[in-house]
Amino acid sequence: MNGIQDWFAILFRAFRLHRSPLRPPGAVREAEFVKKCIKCNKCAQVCPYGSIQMAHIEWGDKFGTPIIFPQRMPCYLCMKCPPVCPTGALDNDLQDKTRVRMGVAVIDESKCLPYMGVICRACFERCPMYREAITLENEIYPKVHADKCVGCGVCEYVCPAEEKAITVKSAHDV
Amino acid sequence: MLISSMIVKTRPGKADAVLTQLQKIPRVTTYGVHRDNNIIVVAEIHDIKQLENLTAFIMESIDDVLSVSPTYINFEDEVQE
Amino acid sequence: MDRREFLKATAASAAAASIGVDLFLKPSQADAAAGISWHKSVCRFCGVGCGMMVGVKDGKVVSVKGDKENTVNRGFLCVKGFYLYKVITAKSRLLYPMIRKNGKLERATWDEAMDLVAKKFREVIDKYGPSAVGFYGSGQAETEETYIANKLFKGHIGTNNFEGNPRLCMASAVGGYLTTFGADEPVGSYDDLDHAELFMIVGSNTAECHPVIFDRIVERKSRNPNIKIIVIDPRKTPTDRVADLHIQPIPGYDLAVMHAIARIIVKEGYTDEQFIKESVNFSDGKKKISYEDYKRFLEKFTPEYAAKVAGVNPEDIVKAARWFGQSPTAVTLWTMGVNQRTRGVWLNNLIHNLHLLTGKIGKPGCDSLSLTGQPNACGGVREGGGLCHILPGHRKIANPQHRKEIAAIWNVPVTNINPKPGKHTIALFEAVARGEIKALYVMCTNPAQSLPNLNKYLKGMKDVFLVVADAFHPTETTKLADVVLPAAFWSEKEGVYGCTERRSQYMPKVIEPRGEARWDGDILIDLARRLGYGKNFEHFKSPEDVWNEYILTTKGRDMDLMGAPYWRLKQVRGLRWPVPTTDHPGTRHRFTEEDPLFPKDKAKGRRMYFYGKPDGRAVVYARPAKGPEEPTDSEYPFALTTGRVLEHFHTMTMTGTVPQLVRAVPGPYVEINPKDAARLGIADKDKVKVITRRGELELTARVIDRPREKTLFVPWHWPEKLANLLTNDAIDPGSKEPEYKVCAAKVVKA
Repeated sequence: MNGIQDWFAILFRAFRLHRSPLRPPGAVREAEFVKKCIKCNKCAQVCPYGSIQMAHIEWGDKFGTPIIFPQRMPCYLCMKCPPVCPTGALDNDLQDKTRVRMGVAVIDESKCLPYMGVICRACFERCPMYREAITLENEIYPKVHADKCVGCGVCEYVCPAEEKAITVKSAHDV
Repeated sequence: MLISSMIVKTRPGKADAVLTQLQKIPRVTTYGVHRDNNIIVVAEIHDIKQLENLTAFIMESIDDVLSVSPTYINFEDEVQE
Repeated sequence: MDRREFLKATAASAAAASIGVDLFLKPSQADAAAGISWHKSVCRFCGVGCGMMVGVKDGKVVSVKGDKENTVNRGFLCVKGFYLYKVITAKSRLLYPMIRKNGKLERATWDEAMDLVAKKFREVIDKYGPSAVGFYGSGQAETEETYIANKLFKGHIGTNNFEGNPRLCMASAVGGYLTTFGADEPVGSYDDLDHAELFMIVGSNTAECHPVIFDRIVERKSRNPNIKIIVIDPRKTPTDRVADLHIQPIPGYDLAVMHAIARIIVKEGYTDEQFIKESVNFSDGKKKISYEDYKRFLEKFTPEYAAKVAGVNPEDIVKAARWFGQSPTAVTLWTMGVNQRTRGVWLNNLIHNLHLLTGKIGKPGCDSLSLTGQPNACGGVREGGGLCHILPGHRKIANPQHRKEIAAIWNVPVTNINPKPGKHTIALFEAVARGEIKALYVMCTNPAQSLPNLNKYLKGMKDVFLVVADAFHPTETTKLADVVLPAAFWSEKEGVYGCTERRSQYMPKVIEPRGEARWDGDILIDLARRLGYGKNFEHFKSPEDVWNEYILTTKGRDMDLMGAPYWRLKQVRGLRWPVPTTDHPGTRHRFTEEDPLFPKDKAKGRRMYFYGKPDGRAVVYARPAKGPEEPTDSEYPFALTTGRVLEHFHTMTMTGTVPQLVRAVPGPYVEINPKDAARLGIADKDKVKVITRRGELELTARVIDRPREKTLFVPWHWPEKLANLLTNDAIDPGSKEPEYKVCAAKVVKA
């Protein structure tokens, strides 16, 4: 890296660095998923919360595959979608929500309110893996336990910081 | 125009090298190396998105940067409603 | 340096501060250059009384931060306070007066609105007498505002139908302090939190409802792991995460537990016999009894008996009692789980009992400290006399001497003040429902959402001539109003708030009110003038004039504030009364030598003298262990309790306007224990109906191991799902506070 002189370069790289959205619970590895998914929309239809959306045209060859943007609507782990997938792109047998691995939540301590002296427990309180995936250090600072986190994105949705301090890093490179 | 500050943490002993690189980025001012390997950086940006891009850029493209933590953003123009 | 350079320097300083480096520029200098001025104020939300710095630029509040110099919160805020500045510019701010015409609220001028209000009030007073009008105020109004209203309604109109929402939250605590110690409000202060070696938290979710206090407790515990925390609450909450012992009684049955703890304390010799001999009387509630009588009374409350009544483990009771007894210091904290009960006063007494028996009161690290829910319930309403039976300065209406003293300060003949106490809140709204009260003025509160058993009261509130002065519209109450008056909000007016620990703090006016909004005090003075009582209000040119008259009512009283004029309050981070002179530092422990009112001559060497009682002795009560008004049965097998969440406050008129907070709690819900849910076939996120004898509500189920079995919990914030359609309006016979916290319910799949 030498002498980058312009914002354009920054923007260009940033575009590539855009965070991947989540795949629905039970999604197989991304390479396999893209092959298996027939874009039938069944998982989105069965989703009671409108969490699952079908990718728009800007997603190129992934157009029409199911994605979840937690800031729009996270996954509430009702586990209705895995069984309806006709091709096994979503693991049909997955019913145990604790075994879901859509991604892992990551806390940015520089944005997180408790680290700024503002008492907040929104992510801890609403986490469906209550008191397991997110715990509070000293009852103040939230910590994510990657081994328990299912990546549902509820924490990201509810985070009341101006800029989301907790975000889910997708398990898939969408 | 927003103004944001951040702390860039570097690997031990690499702060000066990183500082040189940071100084080449337009609209970025550095305020010295503190506590061995923390660099104070102030950037003028257009919006929050650009701040995200900038932090990502510093992380990705300058060697020996451990973390970039925004600490302050002047949001006075956005207060309406 | 130009402005941009200054902004950059500010940013750099902030970054430097985060790694503990002092950069070239002090933040205050940078802020000044950037055009931001910071003003010392107080948070608008709960009763903790957190100090807040308000950042103002170009006539707008642009930021808030915790006040590091305020010893209450030491720079910390909770997420509600952090976003308070956003509420000022909320879309739901009421910007101009409105009058109901043909069933619809329409914009009006101030003159039209105030003329109509004055005309209607005058008509009602002349035709039906002063008792046909009423006032319903708030623990969120400033002391000055409540004082003006008090003076107008009790002193000039001549009605004691003057209430405030603290009746719904603090009345039982008042009753407890009065009966036990002979004077309202805590003996100790927050300073005791930093010295306590044991915390007992009863019926309080401190972590969510008083987060900054909880933070102080957690900090104390993390530095001293030997400190014990006992939580007594039917629900698992974030508070019990730090508990060493959590006793989960069946809602409404904890009185027996308190007696059982007292029994062990007495039996195993943890009592402070010297203190009991000097400073304690015993009573069964009707007459004085002996210490021996009290011991006999306790005999029944074996750990096993209490455990059976409350559905808890007897060993836990023994453990709690021994910890309490053995710990050199102890602070008990409680809120609505204790107060909002038909035996709230009694339960308050039983908490005080433990501190009196062990002498753990009136010394560092020892207190029975009632946490308050609103920022000025203590200051404005309890001290300011904003209820139907009291007058400013902890005075009673029924006392002729007290009426005389206040009439003199109000410059009215004593006959103006009706000697008979008026209607307490529930009676007031019952009278509204019956049509006996024809005109009602509501200030800074939202009773159409916050009263219990709402179905009973809503129609009456629609029919009565209802004036609502509020900063927000629509609220459930303004929807029913005939006239709504836009009130100035926090930072748009100056005044004083008095928090939990007897601390009065000054809030500055830093911006102009939005739209045509006016200071509530100004509106009331206007009304007084239009009703023909202008003469005694004319000298109120500013809130400071009102405060100066108000503190005269406290002179020589147990809550003496003569040493706290505006000029001093502007300099300091609040003062804790009694503070009789401007060189007095305020009082951390009442009834002790430190208290300026402590009568050394009478005390004769005693450590404490409870001067509110004739012989200076506090009272330990042998109260029967009564259960809730509406016990569960086979038809309604669940105990329903209501409460708050961290992100929201009361009826959400404020927090509901901040998108970040609204997102943080995705809507109304009912918490159900997983075992109950499994039995009823209810899954998480199912739609369920919660039904009580008074109403029903469809809610989303949140299946979670928080409420104990056979218990439901509903947060009461959301206006679209009024939890108070379900709650019971049975009241404590002493405090007249309704039993929000326990009623019988059932839950079915919707």
